[in-house]
Amino acid sequence: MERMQHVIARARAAFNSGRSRPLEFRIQQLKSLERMVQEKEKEILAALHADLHKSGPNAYSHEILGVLGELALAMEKLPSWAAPQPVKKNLMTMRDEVFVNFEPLGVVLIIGAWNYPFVLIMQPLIGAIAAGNAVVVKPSEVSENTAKLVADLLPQYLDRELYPVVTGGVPETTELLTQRFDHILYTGNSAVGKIVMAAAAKHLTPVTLELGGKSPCYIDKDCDLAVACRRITWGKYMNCGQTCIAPDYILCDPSIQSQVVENIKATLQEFYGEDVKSSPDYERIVNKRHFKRIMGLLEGQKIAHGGESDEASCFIAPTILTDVSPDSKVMEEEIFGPVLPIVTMKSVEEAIDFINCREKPLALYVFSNNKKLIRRVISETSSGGMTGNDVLMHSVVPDLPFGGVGNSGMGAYHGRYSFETFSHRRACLIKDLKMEVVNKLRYPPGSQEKVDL
Amino acid sequence: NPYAGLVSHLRASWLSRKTRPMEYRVTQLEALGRFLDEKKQVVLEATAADMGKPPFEVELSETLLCKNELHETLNNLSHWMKDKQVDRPLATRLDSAFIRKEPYGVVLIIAPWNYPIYLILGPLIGAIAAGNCVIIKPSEISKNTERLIAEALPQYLDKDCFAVVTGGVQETTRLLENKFDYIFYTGSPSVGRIVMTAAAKHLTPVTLELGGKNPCYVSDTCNVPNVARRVVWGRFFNAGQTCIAPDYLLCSLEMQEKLLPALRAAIMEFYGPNPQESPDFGRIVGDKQFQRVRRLLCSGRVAIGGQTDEAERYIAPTILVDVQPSDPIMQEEIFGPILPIIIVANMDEAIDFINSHERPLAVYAFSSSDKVVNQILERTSSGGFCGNDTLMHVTLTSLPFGGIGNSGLGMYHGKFTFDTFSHHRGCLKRGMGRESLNAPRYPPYSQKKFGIVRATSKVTRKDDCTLL
Repeated sequence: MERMQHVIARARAAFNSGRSRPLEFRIQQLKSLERMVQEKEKEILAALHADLHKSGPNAYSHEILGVLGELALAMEKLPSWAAPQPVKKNLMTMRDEVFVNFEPLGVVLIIGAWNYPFVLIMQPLIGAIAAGNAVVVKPSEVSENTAKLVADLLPQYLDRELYPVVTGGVPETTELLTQRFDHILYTGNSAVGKIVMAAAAKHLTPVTLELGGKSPCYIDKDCDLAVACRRITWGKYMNCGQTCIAPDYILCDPSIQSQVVENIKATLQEFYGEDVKSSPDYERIVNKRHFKRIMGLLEGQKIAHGGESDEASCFIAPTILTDVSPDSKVMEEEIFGPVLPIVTMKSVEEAIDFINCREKPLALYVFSNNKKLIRRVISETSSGGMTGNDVLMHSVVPDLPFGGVGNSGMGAYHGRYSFETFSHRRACLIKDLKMEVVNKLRYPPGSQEKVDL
Repeated sequence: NPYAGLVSHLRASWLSRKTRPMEYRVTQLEALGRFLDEKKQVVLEATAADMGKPPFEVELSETLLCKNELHETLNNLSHWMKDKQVDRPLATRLDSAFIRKEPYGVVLIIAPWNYPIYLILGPLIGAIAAGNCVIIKPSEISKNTERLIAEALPQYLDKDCFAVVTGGVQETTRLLENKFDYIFYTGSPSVGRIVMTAAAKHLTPVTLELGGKNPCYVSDTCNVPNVARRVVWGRFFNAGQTCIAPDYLLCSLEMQEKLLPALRAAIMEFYGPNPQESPDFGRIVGDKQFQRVRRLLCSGRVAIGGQTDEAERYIAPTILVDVQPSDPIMQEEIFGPILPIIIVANMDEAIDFINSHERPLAVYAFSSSDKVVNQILERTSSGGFCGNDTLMHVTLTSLPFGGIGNSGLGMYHGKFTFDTFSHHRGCLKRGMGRESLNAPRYPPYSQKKFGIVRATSKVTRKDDCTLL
């Protein structure tokens, strides 16, 4: 614990020295990170495979590709992001300098999650470094191989005092949260999100909370079911369902339910072959605790497909449940596993009401050929983000802010938004000491004349 | 939970979607404009009764600033409400990507007593513009204005969507037990912590506009009379009860000697030989606050002013010298008409002094040298910064207004208020066709597929060729 305080104090001293502020320094650190990702690609993929049984191509495209993209974007745009922004002046300030300065916050804390353990540390880290901060990095202990790798690699490539890695579980994180930071970005679940925010409140520390929820997926009768189901299958079973923006459950008319099931089954065959367990492209549940939790959700459900499991290897087959009751356990919590419940809805109104009487989700999906229907679903619901006629993809558009609302979180990041999240926008007005005559209008003694002017 | 009924009533109105159409929001905003015009006299009387606020000050800092916000908002609302289209990487080039601004739902605005109209209406205008339902909690300390707001606002705004809750600490605590979709609080850091802790229970996002001790550095080269006027104006406006007032002055002994007569002259110019008789000088808002501020007079030595009158809660515009950093007046935000001067040898010492304290809401620097002003700007951190003047940076609706560290989190004014009370939802609309373009992302994986995924997901540069 003392060591942790010492590490944070050292980061603060390093920040106070000012060396993380010059753009050249920040870009040099980002370049170094880029080198790390390129040079240690094999090790990173190996860690991801060990933690989640993630295949090389999968791991590369879900974790490494995104990180390289963010690094390239940050390095290219940093000069323009960090430049003082002049703003509109009024008559009184016409001759003055009026601008917004983007300044680092200080020492920030990033708490990662285990499901995309590399990118969920790296993407915020890139923004935090770009914004000129010192950063304490706390990877999730659940994805222990990636945590260990991050702890080993970052000090080899980055300034050791400015960007320390702290490892550990709940006790260490609790201790970490008693310390004072200038921003905390946490990715994880809502229950812990509340704990993080309450701890932050003691120090008036602003937070970005990337949480979760049950992301609904509405399939309209009027749509190309084969295409819709292929896209949904991809997003749902990617990383064995352990994706915060995975389509959690399906809402559709009872008349198309069995077609949906057939289409998903066909797609699963296409993606993973006859024997899913032996497909190198299918991941595993991260640990026994989550395995048991997800298996528990199947109790009493109508299993239309899948259901097979193997505890020893934390394998759960891609599973589809039909005619699921809204009151069942599988409809209470975020599934975070390869189980896809279908709840039937007689109309889009019913679906909208259903979605709206639940917590606001991180993502929302709607499939339809009817553009008016899609527009309606967007405007009559709320969610962190959404994609129409596909899943997950809004999260890869770099200029879209990525974050939740309500129970699914607060704040947003990705691309420029990461930079802004970790920056303070300081309003600046610089006048000169002359032109005092203009000021006389505002000085007492007051008069109606002055007021009218 | 005494407020559960009220909150659920507002939530029902929220779910009915009546606050969503622009026309509705404009109607409510225009009603606020009428409130400002029609209740002008009542506002003058209430703020005079609460803290002896000079009518001239009410005009400048309450009415005018509110009107600016209102006009800025009404002029731009349709533009702010529009979906913002964004650039897309190659893989999504044929789709529509945009940011939709959505109201949060039922929001809570807790206002302080020092600018009781502006600090309610400022956030309220943005909250309404963004399409939310709002519960307003004015400060019980400015009790005349509290009563005015509680009686008048419901006459102008839709009662189903906007409500005023009055009361003190107890009532506010009970109110905070409810779930809100956003909480906007202006006040002290200690209560800010309480508000954020309560918000955490419901994962409610917050903006906290707090305070601190705003330093004011005066360098050795400057136009002394002009500096004196600007500092006096900023310090003694509203009898010092301003979150961005210059709290203390930092200068060399040499400069202090030049400043004192200039400060004296400026005070005389503004308030006459006896400020207690000036209609342009305010009073402390309450007995408790009066006692607190008066106690601070024992720090250092009174160079100018120092007179008090308990019956009127009057404290004269006062300058203190020989003040040590350990004196009581340097331990808390003064929030009164007293300006202590701390002697520093040079600019570097001033910067070190500023940086060894909590980050304030504002930093002020006066110098005829641009270099000095820029050094202070670059080497300190604060909510906002004003060079060669005080307070003025908050009068521009194009500048974000907020704190950092102990002085707050979040920001508002102008469009920033609208954005504060909106959820920015990232939206992507794709077509169902061209499924073949998606093929590379599906398993089973191969090196070839993977190359295509790489190429099409890259961040676009300006000269990339399109797919077609």
